[in-house]
Amino acid sequence: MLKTKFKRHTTAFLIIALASIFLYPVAQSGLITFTWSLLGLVILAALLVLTTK
Amino acid sequence: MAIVASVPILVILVLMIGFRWGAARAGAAGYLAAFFIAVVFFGAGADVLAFAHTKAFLLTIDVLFIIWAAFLMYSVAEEAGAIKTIGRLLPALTRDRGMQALLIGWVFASFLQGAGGFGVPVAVTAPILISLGFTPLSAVLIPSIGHGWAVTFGSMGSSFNAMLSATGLSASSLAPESALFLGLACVLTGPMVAHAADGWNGVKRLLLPALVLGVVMGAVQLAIAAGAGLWNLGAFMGGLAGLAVSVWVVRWGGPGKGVERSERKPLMLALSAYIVLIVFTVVFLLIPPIKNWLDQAFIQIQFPETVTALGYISPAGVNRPIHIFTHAGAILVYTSLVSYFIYHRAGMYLPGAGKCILRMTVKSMMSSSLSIALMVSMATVMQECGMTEALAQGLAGAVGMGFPLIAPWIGGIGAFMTGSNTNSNVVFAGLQKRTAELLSYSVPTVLAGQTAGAALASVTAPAKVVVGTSTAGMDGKEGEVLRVLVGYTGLLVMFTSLLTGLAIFFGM
Repeated sequence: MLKTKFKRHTTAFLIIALASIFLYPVAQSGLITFTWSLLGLVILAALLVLTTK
Repeated sequence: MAIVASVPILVILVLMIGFRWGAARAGAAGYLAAFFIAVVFFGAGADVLAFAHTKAFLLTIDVLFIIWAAFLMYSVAEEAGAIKTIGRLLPALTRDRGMQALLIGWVFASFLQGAGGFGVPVAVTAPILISLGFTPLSAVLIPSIGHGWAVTFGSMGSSFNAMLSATGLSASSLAPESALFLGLACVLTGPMVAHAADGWNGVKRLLLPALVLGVVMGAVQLAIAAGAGLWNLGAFMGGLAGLAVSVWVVRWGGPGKGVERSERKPLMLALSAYIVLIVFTVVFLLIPPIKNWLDQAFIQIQFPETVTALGYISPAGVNRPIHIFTHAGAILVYTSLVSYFIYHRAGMYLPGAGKCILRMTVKSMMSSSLSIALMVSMATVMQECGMTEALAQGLAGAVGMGFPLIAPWIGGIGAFMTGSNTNSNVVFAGLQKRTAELLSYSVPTVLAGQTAGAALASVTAPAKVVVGTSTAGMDGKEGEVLRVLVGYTGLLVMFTSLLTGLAIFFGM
């Protein structure tokens, strides 16, 4: 599915952007589990970049 | 704690220099290290990390808006053949090889850095210099040395904007000294380019024109960035002024055949995009009723106070507003659209050029956008959970009085390892600011040293050197270029280091 470097980078970038946007209202509402889930998504995106040579 | 806090930065340094990883991949590793350390050693909770990420996202948009739009505008001009036309007609102004090196490898390369950047100055001018008889090594060296001074206020001021966003300080407080340091470095750059082109003989012969051009470009950048407040146009106008004065200065080395009458119209058309940019910038930023009306649309978010488990408080506040319609990136988008229309009407595009421009922009920018997003996230997480504070305290304790002298070197190493002045400012500007505050030194002066050191050393970043060697047919000889280039840029960073020290200790 994410065969090229460009696709993997684009996917990672979009995940980081969307998660960062939603983190604000989620954290303000005090939804701790959701907050950690979104932070986990950002970490997954970073891991995706890390494993892309 | 300072040693633990330095780990994310060391991770990037080791991976990029030692293992030659790209900026995106190393940025991801640095980010993950910062996240882990923030949670385990600095007691960052979900709220601290969440707001840090939203702040990082806003900062990323602020920086990427300019970078994407500047590359779009460059692609619009490049696809129309405008850059090639300007580059083709410049050598006709003089027969003197040394003067050609100054004109193309310094003045034109600086103008290109002002308008676009992203490795373009070397990629465009190195082949021109080779066609004029320069060796491939000289052809890469000359523009690499030549455009460093224009990096901070080049690319429509994206690196300077990154420093503003990372520190939360105003352009009016940071621009004067930053532009002054880089302007003085510009004056020194001319003789260095002459040396790279023709040795000490070239320096002696071309000293006067080099000094005249250097003073003009440096002074115009200072006047535009600090005087007029148009920091996004600083290097661009400096380069443009250099090109204008070159027409007169190059005659001292023996005039060339000149630009023929039939070539004047294509030249004016090629320059039209840049003329539109100047007009739009003046109209949108300098006419108060228009600016005030457009400034009503902006993005600004109120952040609450956050506290880590160790008690580090990040006070409540708002981010630097992102003015959607008067942002430097927005002005570049308007310019790109109008320029595309002009070039299209003049029949300068092949069918499908529009799609080609958009595809080229997205493809070229994605990797660097990701590296910026990750490094910004890393720096913001470090800032919000007290890692930057710990690092600043450690640095202040370790170097104390000598800090002003090493500040430009920190910026320079940051640019070398991250590949750009922008990334260096994102990663280190907050740290430099806090260390200067702890030591009671002038923050604008230290940050001027940071960005000047980063700009001048950014030309030695492996990614940039590879662009140069690949366009000059020197693939695999990056080490050869780097060995010579480091000597010149090292002198320039040392010069900036002395300037920072003089300004701090003697209030010059």
